[in-house]
Amino acid sequence: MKRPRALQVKLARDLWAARWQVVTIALVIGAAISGLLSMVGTYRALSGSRELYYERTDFPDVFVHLGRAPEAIVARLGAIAGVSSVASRLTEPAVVKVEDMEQLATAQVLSLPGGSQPTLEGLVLRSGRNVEPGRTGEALVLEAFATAHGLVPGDELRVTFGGRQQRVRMVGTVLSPEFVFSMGAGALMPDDKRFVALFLGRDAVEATLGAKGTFNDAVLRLAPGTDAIEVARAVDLVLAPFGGRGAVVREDQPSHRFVSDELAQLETMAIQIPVLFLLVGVFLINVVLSRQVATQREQIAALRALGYSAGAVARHYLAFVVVVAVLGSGVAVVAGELIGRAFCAQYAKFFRFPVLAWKLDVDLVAIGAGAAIGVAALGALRAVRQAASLPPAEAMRPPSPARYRKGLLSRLGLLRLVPPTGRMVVRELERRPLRAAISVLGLGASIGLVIVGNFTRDTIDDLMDSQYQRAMGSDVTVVLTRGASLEVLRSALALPGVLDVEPTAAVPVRLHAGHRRRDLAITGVAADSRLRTILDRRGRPIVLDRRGLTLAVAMASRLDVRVGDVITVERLDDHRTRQVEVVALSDEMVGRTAYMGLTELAALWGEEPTSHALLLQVDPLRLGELQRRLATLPGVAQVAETATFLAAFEATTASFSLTMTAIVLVFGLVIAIGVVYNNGRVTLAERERELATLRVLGFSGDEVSTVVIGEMAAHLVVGIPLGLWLGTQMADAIMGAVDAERYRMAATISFRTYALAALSVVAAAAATAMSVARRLRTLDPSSALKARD
Amino acid sequence: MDVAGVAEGADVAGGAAGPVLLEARGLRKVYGSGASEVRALDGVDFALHQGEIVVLLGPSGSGKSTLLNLLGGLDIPSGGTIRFDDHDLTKASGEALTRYRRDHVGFVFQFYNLIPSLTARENVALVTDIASRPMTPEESLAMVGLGERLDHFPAQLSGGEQQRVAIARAIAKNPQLLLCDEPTGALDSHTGRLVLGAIAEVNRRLSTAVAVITHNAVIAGMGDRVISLADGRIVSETRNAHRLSPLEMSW
Repeated sequence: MKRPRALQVKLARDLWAARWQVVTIALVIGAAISGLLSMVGTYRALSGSRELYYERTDFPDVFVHLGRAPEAIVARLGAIAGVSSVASRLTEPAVVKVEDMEQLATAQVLSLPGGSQPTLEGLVLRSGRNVEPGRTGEALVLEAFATAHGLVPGDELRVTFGGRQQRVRMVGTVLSPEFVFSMGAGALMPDDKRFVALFLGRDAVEATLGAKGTFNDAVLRLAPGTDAIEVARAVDLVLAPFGGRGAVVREDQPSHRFVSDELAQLETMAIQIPVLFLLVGVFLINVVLSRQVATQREQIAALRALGYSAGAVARHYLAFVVVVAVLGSGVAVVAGELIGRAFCAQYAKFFRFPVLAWKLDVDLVAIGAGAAIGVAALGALRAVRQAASLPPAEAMRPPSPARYRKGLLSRLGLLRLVPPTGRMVVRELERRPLRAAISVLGLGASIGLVIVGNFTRDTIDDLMDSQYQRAMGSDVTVVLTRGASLEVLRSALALPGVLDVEPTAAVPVRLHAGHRRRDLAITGVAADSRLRTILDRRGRPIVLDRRGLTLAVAMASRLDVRVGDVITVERLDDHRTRQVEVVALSDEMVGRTAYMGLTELAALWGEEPTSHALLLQVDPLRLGELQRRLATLPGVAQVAETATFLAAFEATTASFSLTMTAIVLVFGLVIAIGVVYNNGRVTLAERERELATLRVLGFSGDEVSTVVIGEMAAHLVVGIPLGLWLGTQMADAIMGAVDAERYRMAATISFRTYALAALSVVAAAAATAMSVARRLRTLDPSSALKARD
Repeated sequence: MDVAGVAEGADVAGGAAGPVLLEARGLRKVYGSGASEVRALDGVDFALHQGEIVVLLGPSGSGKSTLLNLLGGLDIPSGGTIRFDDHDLTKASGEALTRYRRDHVGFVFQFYNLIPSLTARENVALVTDIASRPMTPEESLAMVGLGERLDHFPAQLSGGEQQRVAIARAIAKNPQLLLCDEPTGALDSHTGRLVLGAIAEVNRRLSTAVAVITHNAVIAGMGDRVISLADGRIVSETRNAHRLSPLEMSW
C-alpha cells in the first residue's frame, strides 16, 4: 500500500486532535442537512403522491353544490368554454351507526358516477368490489373509517339520510382524492372514526331522496390551460336559478386545501430550520479554523519554507473543513432517512393517499452534501485566505500580542467595580464583538428552535380554551336534515338528558364588498345565547342584538371591510340581496365565518326564525342514552359531541407535534452544545498561556475557570432574550403559512415553552462549559513559562 | 565601496571552495515607510560558494535574519539582486520562489518549527513528498543520528533531537543550500555542539553550501568564512585558516 503523504497524515492527526470540535460541528451541519433532506423529501413525497393520485383519479378542477336541478342542465355546464367533462351526482349529509361506537358518525352520502351502471371513476378501490347495478342496499366506504372500526366487506351499517334510515351493506373500501382527509364539512381536523364518506349507486340515492332525474352536486374537469375561476363564474350563472351554492375551484376544495396548507408549512420549515443551522455552522467553522490557523502559524511558515505553495497550504486547511462537511453529510443522510421515514409515517396517518412512499432522492443528497461543503468552505474562507497569504518570513516570528483596548465599559469606569478576571471577560467581549454576536445568535437560534418544536402544543391548548371551553357552552350539536320551526326546541328538551337547548340557523350566502366576494354560511345564534359565545379579539363576548353582521377577522380582511361598512349579502339559494352593516369582528379559528342574531337573520329575509341545528347542554351521565335516541330520529342529519371532537383534535395534533418536538429539541441542543463547546475550546486554546499565567500568579483553578465560563454566561445572558424573540418570530412565520381563511391560529407560546427552551439550552450550555472548564484545572501552570514551540 | 571591496576580495580569495552558488548584490530591505521606516538591510553584497560554510554573526537587529529570509526566497528585497545559478530571484514569481525553496533550499529554524502532529519520520516526509530528488526520511534521520527515534512525536523528543529532526528535514531533499537561523539558539551548549556537528557532517558528505546565522561568536570557528553584520550592513569578513570541529568549541 502506498504510504499516505505527510500532509495527509498531518490532516488526519489534526482532525483527530480536534475530534470533539469536528464531531460537534459535523453534528450541527448534519442536523441542518438532515432537516433539509427529511423535510424536502417529505414535501416531495407528499406532493408527488398527490400528483400521482390526482392523475390516476382524474381529480376534478371545479366543484359545485346546488339546491337541485334537472339532469338536462348538466349539458349546459358541459357547454361552458374550457370544460372537458362534467359529472353530476347527488350528495346528502347523513349519520351512520356502527356497532362498536355508541355515538353516531357524521357521514356524507355521494352517488357513484355512471348513472345506473355505477363506476369507480375518481376513486381507488382498496378492498371488496364495486356496487352492483340495480342493488340498492350496497355501499363503498372510505377505507380510513372501515379500518378505524374494523369493518370488512359484508358488514352492515345503519345509515340515516334524506329523513330515512336504512341498512346498507359495505361491499368495498375506497380512497377518494376529495377526502384525502376524513373530514366533514365545517370540521377542523380529520377524524377517521367519526366521519365517513359513503358511495352508493345513483339509483339508490335517487330513490331515498326522491330525486329521480335530478342532481344537486357536480364536478367539472377542465381542458389544460383553462382559467378555473372563469369557469366557476360561468357555472354560477348557469346554476343560479337552481340554488347554486357557488362553484369552488380546486384550490378551495377542503381536502386539497388542507394538504396544500400542510405542504406550505412544511416548505416554510424546510427552508427556515436548515438555513438557521447552516448559519451557525458557518460561524463555528469560521471560529474553529481561524483558531487552527492562528495556532499553526509557525507550522504554516515551515511548510512554505519547505517549498509548499500557498495553494497547497490553502487546500490543506480547506480539506479539514471538507472532511467535517462530509462527516456532517453522512450524519445527515442517516438521520434524514430516519426522520423522513418518521415524518412520512406520521403523515400517512392523516393523508389518505394510495401510496405515500418515502424516498431519499439522489439529487437531494447531492444538494445537501453540496450545501454542507459550500457552507464549510464559506466558513473556512477567511481562515484559509489567512493561511495562504501568510508571508512565510513574517510567520517565522511569533505573532504580535493581540490588541486589546479599553472599550466603552472601561472608559465609563464601570470596570473598576469588577475583579480582574471579570475585566478579562469584558475586554475579550469588547475585542471580538462579531464573534460574541454570532455566538449569541447561535444560542438564540437553539432557543428559538426549541420554541418552534413546542409552540404547536400551546397554540392548540389555547385554541381549545378560547374557542371551545369558553365559546362552546354546548355539549352536543345536532344538525337537522332541514330547517325546522322553533317548535322543535320543545321536543328537543324532552329528549333524555337534555338540560338546555338553543337553535342555530345557517344561511348560505355570497358576500360582496366592492369587487371582492366570498361564499360562506351566516350562522344565526340567539341574541341571548347561553350555549354559544362569540368572542372578539380581546376575548370579550359579542352580543348579537344589533341588526348587522359580525364577521370573522380574517374574513373582514379578505373582503377589506371594517366595522361600520355596508356590504351586499346575496342568498345562494334564491339570489335575493340585502345591504347589511358590519357591526363587529369576531376572533375565530375558522376564517369563513359570519354571525347574526337568529331573529335578525330571519327578519332580513322576511321569514320566521328557523333552526337548522340545535345546541344542547346535556347531563353527562345520560349522554349515551341521548346518543342512542338521536340515532333513531330520521330528522337528525349529524350529531357532534364537543368533548369527543376536542379529544380527537388533540389526539391528532399531539401525536404529530410529539415527533416534531422531539426532533427539533434534539436539533436545538445540538446547536447549543456545538456553539458553547467550540467557543470554549477556542477560547481555551487562544488564552491557554494567559490563563496558565494566572495560575502562576496564584489564582485557583476555579478562579481561572470563571474567565472562560464568564464569557459563555455573558453570551447566554444576551442569547436568551434574543432566542425567545426569534422563536416567537419563527412560530408566527410557520402559522402564517396557513391560509387564514381556512383557519387562523395565532401562534401562542406559553410561559412553560419559553421556560423549557431557555432552561434546556442553559443546561446544555452549562454542562458543555463545565466540561471545557475542567481542562483548566489540569492546566500546567509552568506551561506559561515555557518558550513557544 | 569598502564593504563591496571586501566581499569581492573574498570571492577572489575563495580558492578552497567551489563555484559561486548564490550571489547577492546591493541588497536592501526596508520595512515601513516615512518616519517609521526601518532599513533592515542597507546595501549588502554577498556570495556563497558550493561546499563552503559561512557564519553570519551579528547582534539582534543587525539584519542577519532578514538576509537569510531573502536568500532563502521567503521574502523579496526592496532593492538589489540575488542570483541562484542562472536564476534572478528578485524577479521570480511567488510560484517560482516556492519551487526554488522546494528543490534547492533547506531551512533550519531556531525553534525547529516541527509539525507537532507528525512524527520525526513524517516531518521529514513532508519534504521528501514534494522534492524532486530526495533521500528517504530514514537515511536523512540516520545522518543526524536519529535512526532510532523515527516514530517519536516532537513532544517526545528533547530540544536537540527536535533540532536534528529539523536538520534531517532540511537536508532530505539533497539541497544545494542549507540556511540555518540560530540553530542552537534554544539549546544548551552540549546539545548545540551536537547539532552543529550534524550540520558540519551534512556539509562534508553532501558538499551542501551552508549559511549559519548566530549571535554566538564561538560558533564562527566552524565556518570557512565569517561575516559580521551590524545595522543592516556587512562590517567585516574574515576567513578561517582551518575550520574547527563543533566538538572542539565550547561556550
